[in-house]
Amino acid sequence: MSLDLPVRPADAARPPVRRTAARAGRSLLELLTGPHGTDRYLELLDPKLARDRQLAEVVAVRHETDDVVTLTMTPPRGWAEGTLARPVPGQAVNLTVEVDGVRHRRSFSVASLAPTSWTVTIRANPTGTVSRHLVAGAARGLLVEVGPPFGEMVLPADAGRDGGLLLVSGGSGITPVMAMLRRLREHQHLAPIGSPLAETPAVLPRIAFLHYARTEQDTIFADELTALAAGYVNLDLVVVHTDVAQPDSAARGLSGFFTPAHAEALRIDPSTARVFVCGPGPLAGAVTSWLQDPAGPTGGSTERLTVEFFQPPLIAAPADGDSGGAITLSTSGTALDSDGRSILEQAEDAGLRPEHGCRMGICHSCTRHVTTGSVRNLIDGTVETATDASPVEARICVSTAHGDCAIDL
Amino acid sequence: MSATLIPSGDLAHDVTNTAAPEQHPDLTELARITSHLTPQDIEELGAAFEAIRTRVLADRGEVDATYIRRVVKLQRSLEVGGRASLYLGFLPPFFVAGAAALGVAKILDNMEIGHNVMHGQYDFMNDPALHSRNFEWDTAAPSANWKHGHNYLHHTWTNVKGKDRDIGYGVLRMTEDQPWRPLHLLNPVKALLLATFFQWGVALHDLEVENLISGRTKWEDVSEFAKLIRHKAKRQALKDYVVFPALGGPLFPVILAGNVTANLIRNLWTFSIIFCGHFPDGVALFEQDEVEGETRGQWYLRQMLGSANITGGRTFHVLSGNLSHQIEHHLFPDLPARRYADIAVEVQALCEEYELPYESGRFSRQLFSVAKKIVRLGLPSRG
Repeated sequence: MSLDLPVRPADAARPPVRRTAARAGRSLLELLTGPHGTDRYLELLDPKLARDRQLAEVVAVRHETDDVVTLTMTPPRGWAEGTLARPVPGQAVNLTVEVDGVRHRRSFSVASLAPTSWTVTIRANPTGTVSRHLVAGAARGLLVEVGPPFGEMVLPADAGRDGGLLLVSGGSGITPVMAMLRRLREHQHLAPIGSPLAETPAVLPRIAFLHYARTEQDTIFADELTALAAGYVNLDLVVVHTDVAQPDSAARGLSGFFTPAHAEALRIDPSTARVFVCGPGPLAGAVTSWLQDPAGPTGGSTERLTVEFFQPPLIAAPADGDSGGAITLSTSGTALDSDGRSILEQAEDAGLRPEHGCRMGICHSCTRHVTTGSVRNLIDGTVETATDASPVEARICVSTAHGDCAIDL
Repeated sequence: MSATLIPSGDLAHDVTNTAAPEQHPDLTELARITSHLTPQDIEELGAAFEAIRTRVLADRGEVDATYIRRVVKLQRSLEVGGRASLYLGFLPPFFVAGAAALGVAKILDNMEIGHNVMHGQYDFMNDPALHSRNFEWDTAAPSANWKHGHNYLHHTWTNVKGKDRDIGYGVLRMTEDQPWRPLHLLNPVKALLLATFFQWGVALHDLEVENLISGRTKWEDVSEFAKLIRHKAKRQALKDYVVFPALGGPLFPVILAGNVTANLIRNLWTFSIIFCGHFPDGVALFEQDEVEGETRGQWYLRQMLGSANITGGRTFHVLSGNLSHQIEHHLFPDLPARRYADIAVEVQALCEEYELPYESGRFSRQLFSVAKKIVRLGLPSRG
């Protein structure tokens, strides 16, 4: 009896005999704890003992504004063991959080990373199950499951010494930018005024940060931003309050949403800087248009621009009772036009043989993931919509397209 | 709550299998029971069931998640405790306690956890360990095979003659429609053997051996299933009958006996509960042509008439995996089973309103009824 267990990094360092013995021991344990597996017993003693789940424990909760919370967590074991990639500042991870008995997976930017702890900062989305739950109820001891990191917002290796860094964020889009700034500060790429570092301006990167918030009360990390703005020789930081008509001197007279004039008011050369933008769609769009303009600072080049949206894609769902739309079956590469019948029937008409059973929504054999778009349940008329962060499951024998959708079939 | 006996159910029990067929030889069982209902009545009844389902689906949440996790914790604790106790099995009280705890752990694993999780009752939790796609149970039958045979074949074709392979599990004569053959004299013996080795019976059941023999399916069609069965059965047997006993050194025979006893307890119990779900007198069987093209309302009606409940206390319901609420389970196979007791009150009220039988009885009564049927049908049909 042998089990194909992957070799753990820790095993690689051991002599072959001990490695074989360790593997045999694990195989035996898996047999004895079968069919559920060792983890399913260990987690009853302590959920963090299960090796197949990467759990982080909330150790501190800080309310930043009325609707924003920062969770400080322990690192999941995989970061140290090398079984789970550690995010870098600017990246995001998926967190799986249980709300009312249901596990939900959502993406959150990492806001800070220290050797023994890390944070995410979350704004309650008025219609968001997970964000509202965490802002209202997260407490010490809460366990969340952590997924692998992703995202293109990554600091250049030279920290922007070649041409500078222009960081632009709006609302809760500040979190990945803050992670980057905090990392720059820790690694002494930011020179405090009066420090020995500040004596050598030539070797320091030039960094500018333009942040948009509705009002001062809505500004996340307001105190830290004030300290950053006043404290470093090579950082030019301006917070613009979009809902304030009479901007004060701290905002350098700037108000409203992004215009090229805002960028020009900062001590940075946009023609050479790496530009990172994170925020709502309109902000990302305005900055992109500025750099795409042939008469703009880069001559129309967006080569040095990195954009991250932090809003779920909006899907226009047709009016009630309306169905139809294009169905993309992503695994088989089939495209269908919904005629209102079940996706299973239509897939079969297209020559596919999806796994299924009862064809009436009972046996769950045909359950598939809807990765984008919405499907309507043919039995009770409920509509389920997938987002990038969380696909939904649908029994395709009793589901029809509700607008365009894609399914892992 | 515990289900109460509805008079009409009792009446059906007396009438169905004796007098009625002679009085209305041209009517099917279904037609006889539902002759007072119009098609519109049946669809209204179906809509009422659908409304219950929609309401409970929307209400699922933390209570269901907490409940099933508590049962899992209890099951794993009993399993670990039972196995540990068997290592002191040279002392009779420890042997008895260990075998009993392990037997109950296997019952909980198979019934309230395994059967219900594999129906997708807890899929809404998005917990991979309690998801119908992943869950594997502590018995010889691999979950993949069983889900096909049970969730699809049995639940779709509940009690349809020639379609529902759970009628007698292909080895017993459970209805007069099966032509009597001399081999059926062994009906009671075969039933006892099936009960004793039920985990292996269930595993082989999914191979559809009778279809292989008749040539309806080919060996190639089931060789993947067979491979899964071999793999799973080997690991189960190795675990229970070789490795755990071997870890006891000189206690090998004692611990082996404990595992055999635990599996036997589970086998007899699950066989009894399952056979009481569909085979007591008063439960209807259906013809293939009357279920073709059936409406949602007719489907609900057939599920209800083809099942029987067992009354009992809370512990009994949990140990039966809530299959004691077989009627509610067949109406709503993917609702969390802990909800069935509450739903049963509404289902009974609907049965009274529509003057339909709601077959329910004590465990001993239902078991006796099934045993009687097994013996009776072992003999050639009278007249």
